[in-house]
Amino acid sequence: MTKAMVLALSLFVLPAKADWQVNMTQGVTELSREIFDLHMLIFWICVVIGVAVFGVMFYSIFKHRKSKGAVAEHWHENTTVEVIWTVVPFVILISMAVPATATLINMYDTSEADVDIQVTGYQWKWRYQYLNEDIDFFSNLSTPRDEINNVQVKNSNYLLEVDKPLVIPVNKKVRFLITSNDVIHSWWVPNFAVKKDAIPGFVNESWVRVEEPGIYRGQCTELCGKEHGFMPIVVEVKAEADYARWVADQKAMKLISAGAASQNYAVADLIAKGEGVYNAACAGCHQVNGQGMPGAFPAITASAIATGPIQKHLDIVLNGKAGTAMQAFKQQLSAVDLAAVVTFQRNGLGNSVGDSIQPSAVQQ
Amino acid sequence: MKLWLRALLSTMSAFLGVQSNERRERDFIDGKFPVFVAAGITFTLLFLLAVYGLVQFVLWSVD
Amino acid sequence: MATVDIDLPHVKDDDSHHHGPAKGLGRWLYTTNHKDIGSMYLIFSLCMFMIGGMMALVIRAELFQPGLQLVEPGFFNQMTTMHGLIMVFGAVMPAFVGLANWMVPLQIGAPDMALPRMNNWSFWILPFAFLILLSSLFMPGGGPNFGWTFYAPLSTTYAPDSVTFFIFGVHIMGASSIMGAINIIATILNMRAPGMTMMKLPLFVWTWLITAFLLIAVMPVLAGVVTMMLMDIHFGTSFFNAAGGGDPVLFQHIFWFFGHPEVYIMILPAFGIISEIIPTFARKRLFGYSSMVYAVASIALLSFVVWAHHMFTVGMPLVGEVFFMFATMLIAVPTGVKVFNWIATMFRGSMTFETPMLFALAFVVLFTLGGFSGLMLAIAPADFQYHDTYFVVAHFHYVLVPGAIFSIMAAAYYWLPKWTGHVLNETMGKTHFWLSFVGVNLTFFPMHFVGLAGMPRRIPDYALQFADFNSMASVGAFIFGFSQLVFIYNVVQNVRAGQKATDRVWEGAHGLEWTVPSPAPYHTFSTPPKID
Repeated sequence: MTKAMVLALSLFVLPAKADWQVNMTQGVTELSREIFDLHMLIFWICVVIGVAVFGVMFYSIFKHRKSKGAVAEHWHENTTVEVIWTVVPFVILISMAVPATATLINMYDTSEADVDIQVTGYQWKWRYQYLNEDIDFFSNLSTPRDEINNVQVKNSNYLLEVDKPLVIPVNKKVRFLITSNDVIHSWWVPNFAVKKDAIPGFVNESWVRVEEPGIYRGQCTELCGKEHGFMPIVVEVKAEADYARWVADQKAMKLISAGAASQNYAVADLIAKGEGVYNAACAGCHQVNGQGMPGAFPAITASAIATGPIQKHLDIVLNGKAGTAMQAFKQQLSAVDLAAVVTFQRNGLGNSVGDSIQPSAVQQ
Repeated sequence: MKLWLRALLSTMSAFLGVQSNERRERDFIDGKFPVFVAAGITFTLLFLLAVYGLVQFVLWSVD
Repeated sequence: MATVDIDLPHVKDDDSHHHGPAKGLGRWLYTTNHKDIGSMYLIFSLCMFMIGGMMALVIRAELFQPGLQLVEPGFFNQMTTMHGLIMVFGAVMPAFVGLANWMVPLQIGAPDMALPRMNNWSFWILPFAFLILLSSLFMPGGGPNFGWTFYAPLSTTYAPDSVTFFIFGVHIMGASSIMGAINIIATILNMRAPGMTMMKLPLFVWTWLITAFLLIAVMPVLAGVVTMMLMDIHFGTSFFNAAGGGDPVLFQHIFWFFGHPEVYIMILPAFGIISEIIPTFARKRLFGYSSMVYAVASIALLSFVVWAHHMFTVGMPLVGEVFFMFATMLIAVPTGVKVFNWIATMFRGSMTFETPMLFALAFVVLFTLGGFSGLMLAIAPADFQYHDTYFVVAHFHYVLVPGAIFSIMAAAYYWLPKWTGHVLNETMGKTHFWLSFVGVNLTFFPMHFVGLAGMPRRIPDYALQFADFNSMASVGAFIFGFSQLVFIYNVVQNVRAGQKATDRVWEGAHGLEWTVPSPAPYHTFSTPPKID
């Protein structure tokens, strides 16, 4: 399909979910509603001031124009009036500061949390570690590249969907410890009214107590590089029993994947699996065709690393390269995925080294 | 001394954003520029301290 | 406007014995004439405005629909970064310096700027600064892609190699700004005509004097922060690198310590311009001249103590959060009520609505809207929902486009007849105004909505629910962008030909600049005028 046709097509499929939301979301927590009320309060204050100010302005624009024979008067000072119109907004604003401060104090009270989750920003994904359970996973954008590139019709959660959402229990105080592995990100879920910067070397705190189970979506809100627009946040809020079941499932799955790593795989299977892993984890920088971006991200195709000794190749994938955007994938991918993606890079993308590596070798 | 007092008063009204012509003319005729600069900076620092004190008081009264 | 209600005995120009401008390119290269340099600043800023505008159109074209159509995300980030840098440092600031060059000597009755050679130098290093900056777009790895706020470590450890050129460019612009500011202060303090006391200064001169002090205070801070970046990148220091014991948040504190006064640098001269234009077309003296002067001075001082309201989400301690919220709300008041002074000036005046007045009125209304959203952003808890969304984009574009840019447009239309000697084509001016007015609002008003609905800023692609307002904004941006061609055509026509303008040009105009012939001769006030 040509690009022009895709563009024309997207014109028709587009408005599927377009809506006209004009106001802040009220959200699903006590705090988010408090913030919404503050927002509306200051908004109406502005409206009232605006109506008064612009009212006088437009009155004089219509009344005091030369074409209507208006003659300019000569006064140009009245300190009393000026003091009044300064003091009145002053008092209004001070009255505004009271509820704002109260809300702020409440937001900063992160004590007595029921669940602690460390949220770490990576270029360009989120990592969630449950501090009291042994759960640790990454959450990547799951929208297919074809939808982004207008080849495929966009689904209704376009750019707001991930492979593995964060799961939290309803009606519990969940504390987030937010930090970053590389650059500054910002973790925002509008329905929770939680937005906190994820800063390398710092741990910021925030908390939420969600009142209704459901799926809530947000995005990274601090420019963090090329794929900044493509690292969404999805939070699934579950009833307590469902949450407990989910925690148990996670632990069971961990055992299964440990077992998977000790098996042997056929090279063709590794390559097939590796392509999927590559597109999810690597293609953002190195591109789907492996050509990279000259000057910014090196090519995989015919690169010295991907065609050189396999141990060195594995090492760079596992540990990253300091001072560049190349991250350490040791924690991010399972042993099976790591073996698969390394094998794929050596035997796909125009490379044909011919060797392969097994998950068991990766684990050592 | 009187000059100081007047500079301080003028600075205060400047922070409110209101000043009369009469006072301005007086300021510019017998006022001294450095005195006004000093008063301005002093007042900014006072403003900082005042707001800081207010914040401390508010947070203290909540606890 | 001051009490300079002069109907001077016409300053007859006995300047004929002076040499006129030199011929050819040399005139522009070697000139020390404030009018030549002012024109060059203005033309330069117009070019930058068009380049920065084209980048904005690239951004808006990509955002016309969800999905990636025209550019890839890395280039998109370079466009947002360069658009911001060029508009702030290349369009708005040089335009104000250009206006100051032209008008400050004319308004205070000085023959030229106090330091004419430095004036030449501070202009001529600017084009090179921007050539360096723009050339980085063509370097391997691309140009700056970390936003105009260039937060570390994205702009240090993770930056493209061209960041060094960006740092060099910023240093040169900073040097240019500081020299320009020194020149303006020296001129205003030393070169006033006899009788032009400080309290008779027109407000444009007053606001520029205060702006110049702000510039001298904060440009070195900017230079400092980019130098720290340079050290981190090339010399192994760790100012902003947490892994080496540094602090990425320190960067933001330093940047915004520069950045917040910078906001006022871009708006105070606009206040001055509007305070010149509204009295002219309302035929009534500015209401509360003294209050304006005093308020502007105190706003400048207070602009140094509110910087962290740009950083409510970095995780400051509660005390800091509350402090900066209170301080911000308090200084919003003296700033905001200046709008009341303009309205009181119009009240019971005798208004006409020529193009400069239209721009000035649009400034008052739309800048106030930007002020309202600013007030909302000051509420720290609510800021958690606004921060880094399109609501913020809408806010600062409302203060900068119909704020700073409209004031520059108004100033250009207002003083153009004095510069060129020709009456403006009003029809074209009004066409330009209405197209710009509609375009600006169509572009930036819907951004409030998508921002509140949850669209983050600086993203090349967005979720489907933001689609409608985004395509609306893109249409508006193209209307606004292309309507500037009307302005350029109008100016070119005006320079080339047109009905001869009178010396006073506008019926209600007061001030020294209107006592010299139109066009203003190459040398004015060689003999100082007398002001009572």
